[in-house]
Amino acid sequence: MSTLAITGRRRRGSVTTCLLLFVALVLAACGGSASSGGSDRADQRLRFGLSAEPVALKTGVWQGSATNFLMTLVHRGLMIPTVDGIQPALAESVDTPDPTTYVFTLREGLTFHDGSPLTAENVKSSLEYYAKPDTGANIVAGLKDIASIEVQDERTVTITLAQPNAAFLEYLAVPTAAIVPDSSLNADTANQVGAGPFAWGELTQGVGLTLEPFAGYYEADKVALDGIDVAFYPDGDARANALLSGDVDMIDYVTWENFSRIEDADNLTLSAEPGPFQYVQFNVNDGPFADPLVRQAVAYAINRDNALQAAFQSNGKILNGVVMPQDTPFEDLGQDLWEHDPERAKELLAEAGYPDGFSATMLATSQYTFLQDTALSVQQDLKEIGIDVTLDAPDWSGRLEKGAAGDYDIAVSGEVGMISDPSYLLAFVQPPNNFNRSFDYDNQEIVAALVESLRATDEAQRVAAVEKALEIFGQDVPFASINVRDQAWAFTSDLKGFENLSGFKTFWSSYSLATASFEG
Amino acid sequence: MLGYILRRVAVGIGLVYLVLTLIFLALHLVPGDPALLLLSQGDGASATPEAVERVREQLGLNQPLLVQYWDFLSGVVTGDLGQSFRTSQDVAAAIGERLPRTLELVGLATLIAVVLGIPWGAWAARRGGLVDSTTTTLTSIGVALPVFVFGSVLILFFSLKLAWLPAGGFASMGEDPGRHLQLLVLPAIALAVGFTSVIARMTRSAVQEMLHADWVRTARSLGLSRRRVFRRYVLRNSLNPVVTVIGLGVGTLLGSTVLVERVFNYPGLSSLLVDAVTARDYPVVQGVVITIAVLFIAINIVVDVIYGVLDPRVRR
Repeated sequence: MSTLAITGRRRRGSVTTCLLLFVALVLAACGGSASSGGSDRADQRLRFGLSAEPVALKTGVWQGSATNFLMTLVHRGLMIPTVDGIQPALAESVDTPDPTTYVFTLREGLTFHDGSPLTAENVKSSLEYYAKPDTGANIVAGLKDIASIEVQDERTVTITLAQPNAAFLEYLAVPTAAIVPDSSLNADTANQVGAGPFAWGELTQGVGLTLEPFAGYYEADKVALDGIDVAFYPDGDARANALLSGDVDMIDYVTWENFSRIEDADNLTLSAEPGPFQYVQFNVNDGPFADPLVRQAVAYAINRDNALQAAFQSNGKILNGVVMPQDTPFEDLGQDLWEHDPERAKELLAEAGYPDGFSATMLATSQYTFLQDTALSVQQDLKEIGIDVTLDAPDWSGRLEKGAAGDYDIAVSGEVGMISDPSYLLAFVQPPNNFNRSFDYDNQEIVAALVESLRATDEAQRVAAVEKALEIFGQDVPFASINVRDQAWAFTSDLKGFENLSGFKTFWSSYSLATASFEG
Repeated sequence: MLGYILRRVAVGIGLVYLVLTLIFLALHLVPGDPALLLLSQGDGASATPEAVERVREQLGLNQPLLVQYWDFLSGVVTGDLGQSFRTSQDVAAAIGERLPRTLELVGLATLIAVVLGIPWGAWAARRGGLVDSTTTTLTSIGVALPVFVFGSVLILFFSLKLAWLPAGGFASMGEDPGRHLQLLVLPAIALAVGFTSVIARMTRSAVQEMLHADWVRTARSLGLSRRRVFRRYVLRNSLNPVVTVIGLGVGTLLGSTVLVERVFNYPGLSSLLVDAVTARDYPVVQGVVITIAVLFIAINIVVDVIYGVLDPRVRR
């Protein structure tokens, strides 16, 4: 019997071995496509891991960084942001004979992906659509100075402003300012037909999307990529893993805890630039935070190094004032409005009539770890000066609703300006209320100074006006800044030509994929 | 018998209606405004109130709740689950795409768990000693180990260190069968670990209990070999409770797919549900919940009917 049992076991053993061998063979056979490095690249197709599944594209509407990523590839506007500032895109040239007149000359032979010609009429109808507030277009504020748009001929359009606006051209370089066919100028048509370097291919919901090169693009000869296969990776770790394992060639929005993993990899490049800023916003409707002294106290209480370390592993820089555009005369303004000084904060609190502090609620969110960590750090700082803060951390959706309704005392937020011009601050210092602006905050003095800067045509006058605005800003504290976080893209090192746009525009750096290529 | 089946189906329909109403109310009670969310994705300039109001109108969210409820119910009755707020995709189509993927994952995980779990448990019970105690330890770990932890470990070894398999994603069977299977392997294993342990433990204890039954000794004394008794009688008789556990476990697996699909970036039904809840995409949440509810209730009805066939006493 024992002999039988042994042979039986042997037989089972060999069956198992056969099975294992089979599985190994199948996996090995499939294995060719599983691993891929940068070296044995057969074609110029870019596999991209995108941080969110884009929503259905609505013309002119700001729908977040994932849709903006697609906008930068599928669409083009009159202007385009580059590392050297803004430059003409669909426009061949822009003439400004006087500060309120802009003459755009379009490039020759422009067409949309559907083959229809792109003319000055399209420019007029698109911009008129974006200037209407009820379309939900996000550049509406930037276009409200337009007095008239006149079509001179097929390639020439003249825009006249009612008053000078120093940021006007910058608004035209926002991804949602793309020139689109008339058929897209409504709320129901998906905004997928553009004049950009890549045409919309095939979308598989929840999985990915293909983008194909467009032969009619105005610089089609410079487009080296054979196409882009976008895969959706909403989870930050899954996205980083996909890049590290070679499943994709490039990812956006590298989460901070993954920075070093990618930097340590031999064949990968991490491109990080300072992007959005984090801050504490206030409900100034009533209660202690209606008092500017209390808001100042908060600005002095925040230990910005701690917050940067806690939320971003120190990937970024502390912000003692407000973000100003780099390489401009504004660069050094308002950089040291406040600093970490708990003693000063306590004095300010006492001066405001709260020598023993008080308690308050702080709105954060459980959905984004970095905002939660920022909140915890600030909570600790405020405790030190006697403000006892209770955290309220709903999911992002709940956070938005509570923020918009003013259902908080203070809140932590992260945000970018739509443009880099100092006038981006206008959105933070006056109504309407919004989920990540200080609730009911309205300071017409700051508004007046910022508007003065926007209207001025003399540089010294512009700088002086911004200086004035920031001086009031420091005293009145519409928000208390914490830090600027690094925002990173990562890719295989054989991808050349990608340029990370610094500052608020870092999210739009995918514009440069139009000229990127793989190099062996 | 027909009356019995009709009764069960009627109760089932009542239950589905109850789920419909509950999920509708729950969604509208939970804080969060889909329109505001649609216009506030990630970082960026914030939406104007006009824009939010306009989107709300487009989505029909400015209608009174009762009107929305009626529209929703009449839609469901005519088989129209609406369109996703986010992607404008037909909800029914989205579910049609995703459900088979999740079922495929659950199916493969169940297969792995059954094929490994039953022989393992039986072997441990029969051999005893070191094999048995090792099995008990390993299966305890297997049951306790969260799927997302094991999933991450699998990715670390098989994708990042060894580069044998992709770290996650999806490829359709029609376009790239090889990659489709590759992408299924790790999530299925991650999902199967806990289930395998449960099945192994259940089989082990059932077999152990059976081995000490009087009829086993009787069978041996009648001259049947140990092997024959084990294979023919002990194992077969032990499988009843195991089958029940498998039935229950498949339901639990559906729940576990939420985490596995996240870790492996697998676009199944669970990840659709989670994303839809986060985005307050009401039509999608409602559609997915209804689908799951109908599935569960239908399975229950089938089980009830089978019991009715097997045991006439149940029919009363």
